[in-house]
Amino acid sequence: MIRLVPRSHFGVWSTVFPLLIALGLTVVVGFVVLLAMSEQPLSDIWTLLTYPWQARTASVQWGFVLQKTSYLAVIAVGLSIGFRANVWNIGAEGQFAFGSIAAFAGYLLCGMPDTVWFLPVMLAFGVAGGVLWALIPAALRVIANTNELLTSLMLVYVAANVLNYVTTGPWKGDPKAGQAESDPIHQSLQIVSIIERTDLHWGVVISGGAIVALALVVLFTIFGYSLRVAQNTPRAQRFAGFSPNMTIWLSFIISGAMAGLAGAIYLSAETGKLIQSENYLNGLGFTAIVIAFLGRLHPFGIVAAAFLISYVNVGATYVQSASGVDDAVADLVQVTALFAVLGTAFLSRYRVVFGAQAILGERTA
Amino acid sequence: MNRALTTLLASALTFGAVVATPAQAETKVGFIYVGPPGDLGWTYRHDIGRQAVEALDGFTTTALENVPEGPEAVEAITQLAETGHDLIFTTSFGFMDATNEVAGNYPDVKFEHATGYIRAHENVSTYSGRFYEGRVVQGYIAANVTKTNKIGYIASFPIPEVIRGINAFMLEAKKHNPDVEVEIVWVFTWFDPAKEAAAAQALIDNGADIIAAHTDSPAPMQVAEAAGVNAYGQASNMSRFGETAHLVSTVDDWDSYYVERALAVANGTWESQDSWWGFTKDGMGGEVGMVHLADYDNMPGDVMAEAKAIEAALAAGDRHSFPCPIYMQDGALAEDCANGETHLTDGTLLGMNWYIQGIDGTIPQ
Amino acid sequence: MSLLIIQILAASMLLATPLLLAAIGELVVEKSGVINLGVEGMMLIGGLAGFIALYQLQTSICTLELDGVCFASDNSVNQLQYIGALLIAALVGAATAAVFGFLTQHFRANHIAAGLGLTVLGAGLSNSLGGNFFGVDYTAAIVAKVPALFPASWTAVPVLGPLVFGQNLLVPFSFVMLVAVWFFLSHTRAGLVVRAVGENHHSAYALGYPVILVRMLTIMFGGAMAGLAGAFIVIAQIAPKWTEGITVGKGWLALALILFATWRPGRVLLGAYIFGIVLALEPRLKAIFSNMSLELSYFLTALPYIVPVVVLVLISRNPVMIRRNAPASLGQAFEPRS
Repeated sequence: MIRLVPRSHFGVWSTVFPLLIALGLTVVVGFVVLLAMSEQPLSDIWTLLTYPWQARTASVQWGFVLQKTSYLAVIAVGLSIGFRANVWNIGAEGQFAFGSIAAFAGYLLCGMPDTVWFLPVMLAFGVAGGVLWALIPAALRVIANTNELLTSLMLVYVAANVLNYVTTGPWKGDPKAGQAESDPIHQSLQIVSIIERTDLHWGVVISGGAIVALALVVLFTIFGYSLRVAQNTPRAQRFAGFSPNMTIWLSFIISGAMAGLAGAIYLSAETGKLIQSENYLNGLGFTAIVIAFLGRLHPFGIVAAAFLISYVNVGATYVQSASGVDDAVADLVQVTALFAVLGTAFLSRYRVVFGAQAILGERTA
Repeated sequence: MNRALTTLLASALTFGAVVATPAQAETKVGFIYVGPPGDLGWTYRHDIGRQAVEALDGFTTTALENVPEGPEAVEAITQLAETGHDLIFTTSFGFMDATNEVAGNYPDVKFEHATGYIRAHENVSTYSGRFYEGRVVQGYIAANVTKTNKIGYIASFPIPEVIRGINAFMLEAKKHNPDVEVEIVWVFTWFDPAKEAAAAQALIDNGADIIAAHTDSPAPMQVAEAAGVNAYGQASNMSRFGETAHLVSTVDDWDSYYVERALAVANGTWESQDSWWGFTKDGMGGEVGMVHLADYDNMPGDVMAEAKAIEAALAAGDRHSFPCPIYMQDGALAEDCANGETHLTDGTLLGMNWYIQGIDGTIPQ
Repeated sequence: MSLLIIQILAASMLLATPLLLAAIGELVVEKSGVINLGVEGMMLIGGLAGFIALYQLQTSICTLELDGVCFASDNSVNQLQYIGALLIAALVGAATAAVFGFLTQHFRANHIAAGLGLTVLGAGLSNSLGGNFFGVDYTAAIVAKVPALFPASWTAVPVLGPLVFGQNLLVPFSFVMLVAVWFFLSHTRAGLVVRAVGENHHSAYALGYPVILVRMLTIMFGGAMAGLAGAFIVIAQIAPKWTEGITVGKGWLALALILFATWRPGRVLLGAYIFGIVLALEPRLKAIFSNMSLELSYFLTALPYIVPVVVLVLISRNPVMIRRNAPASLGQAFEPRS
């Protein structure tokens, strides 16, 4: 006796209500998981929720959370543009890698300048690299009608091999190293922390700027409005002023640029050098896909989702260090959250009607 | 449980304070693992070492598993430092930069990095085993057991550690059987059972009747067992994966080092140092080192006796793994030997990026 | 020369079979208009389930017992126990797929997002359960090798020995399933219903076909096949051993195969074996050509991922062919119009 009735009125409530249900479900499942895995579930849950205040240095914990948030959000906001228009770039990990490679290539091409003023150029090279790598699946889709979802994914593995190649071959650094890696870039080009001893660095601010800029374009310009209306039907796309091909190009260029920027920041702020893929790439580009959907493909939602997931992730490692509980909790919370958000999304389009009313509704329909 | 909650509530109110000071002065030792202990190889042996520390009175240990190498390790290592660990072992090369970065932020915590060579702060030590000593014995066994005179060698990455192993193996093998040849497959991964297995099968199909692997999984041993040829165990005792295939395993043995260093921290005698132990700590017949050989199987009695004699001679310092004269692939005498050394120096071994005479092929670099 | 070809074929059978199994399942799923990107996750969970089942089912005789604790044991496995483990793998795979099914069919979630979520779920759940499932650490568990279908001495027979007699049960099974699925889709009424649902779910619904039920069933069939593929990798491809993340991208290759095959079973077979041969050739070429340049060496390593892209481009150039075989409602959420 349960029936779904399409909503005639869309308010704030129709968006917030399903998210609240999803949040509730996630908390319940996370609670049950910790109850099963931990010997002292209540204090572990308390630690997971409040660790920045429990740790020796709160700023260190916030640094980790914001740093993770920035990488996930900047990639996810880029991806969300295409996802809204049913353009499936799931190869952000590869574009991220190529952003790093291109930033390093730019650094070498320009004769390894030792000045902080070169940093913007290096980041620009990273953006270009990400776009370049994203243009391959875009072009194949437009020219040869190839499924972009699979080609963009396969190109992740190819990019990883390119990274391995440059670090074992032409750009190989210290021969004593126990991994394939390049020489480090100059200290002046390595992004520094805003607060000493934390991972909160200026790269987080740069990513934040990119997210805000893209969000403003998407939410407040006609161009962005057209992109949003484009959605999935070719007719609506044309009506909005874009050909289907244009939508594909734009989606890939924007998402590639954001992933490439993240890759260049990562090179400059985190590693300072290129390293063989298995020690350099850690799935940010894939997690960002989950984040994009968690945030319901909306810039605000994505930033919030990236923050929540980062908070739980950092907390899980903290709890594990403090009391030894397996940090797989974080993975399970993340998946539960995703499934809960996906599973409740229909509630923003439908009302659930119970009991007699449902039958009544059926009769009048 | 309630009390724990109240304590945590209280500590949460004093923002940023240390969670709780344990009543008795226990030494907390943390471990960062690159894989799960269940890999039955590299991480498994580090976990055995951790258990030796845990068994001591007055010590507790925490291990974080599956920590990605590269920048993400900064977070994991920091969390161990933040939760009051006094000594932290980071057990893979890829943690080198992260270890040194975190060490700078926590001068009161001692750090031990495995297989690395950078000690940027006074609270960082490095340590590794002379695993190539095991390769010498393996080379001797290969020379006497092979019927096809063809050895298959599965190599991970072209780094000094791996090249050193190949050279030590072939130097000894050629000495006892000049007809022995080695065929090397570079798989560019430390861990991919399917790939390692495919490489082992290819080498066996090409005529190799002994498989040596410098990768982490027991897959090559399992393939050798199925194909009825011989193989060596890597990192841990792998005899159970090859009842008829297993010749001998080179076992990483961290127990005595970990116990020694943990006690040093508790006694306040810990100092930054670099340790490189072979079969024995001093290489001169002294205390137990970081490498031992386990379970000589499936070879004639006289070969086994001589192999054990070589092991004893290396342990006692009666002979070296790389005695002069040593000729490089192009026929030139190695620089150390030309300079009048009796064997290759540690400096040369640490940066080894060339093959000895008698190995065909080029190192991919 | 002919020996080399037989060796490569035998090696490629081992590498192609899991791809083929998973792709056959996903083919049916996509024919019904659903795209499930969670193949990799279902393979991991199914593979772990099969391994746990085999560990529990195997015959274990303790050879060294002290104070009631067994220190060494003789383990053995027979075909029946193996089949039991495979059934469990298939069931667990199907159950995992059902999660995806409920989300996409009943809660109308986005297929792509739910599929990716399933992949994350599979990796996370199999990692944590594999390390501790009711107190047993399955990453360290030892399970006996599964015997070949035929007596060991038969494998010495030239050609037929390595290619037929030495193979695992799932190898012939994959061929049987391929023919069965082809027959089902093109020659049975139920297969016609599946295709009708994938072609246009609204008209199928109007004709009275239970769209959601049909799709739930195909999704669970896909999960079962992915579970078997995972079990093959964990149990039979080398020797039984559970390892975290052991499938390393094979699920994604299976998805690429469907496109390569333009949804035709015969081509799925061809594609799986092309991938298998590429994967088997790589180490052989590296062993034989020891002076290979670094560029070529890495190119060979990346080849299994470059081949699908190139092939996809070649076949996609002919959109007519794709349109004829592609299910028209692929990936679209079905909402009955009331």
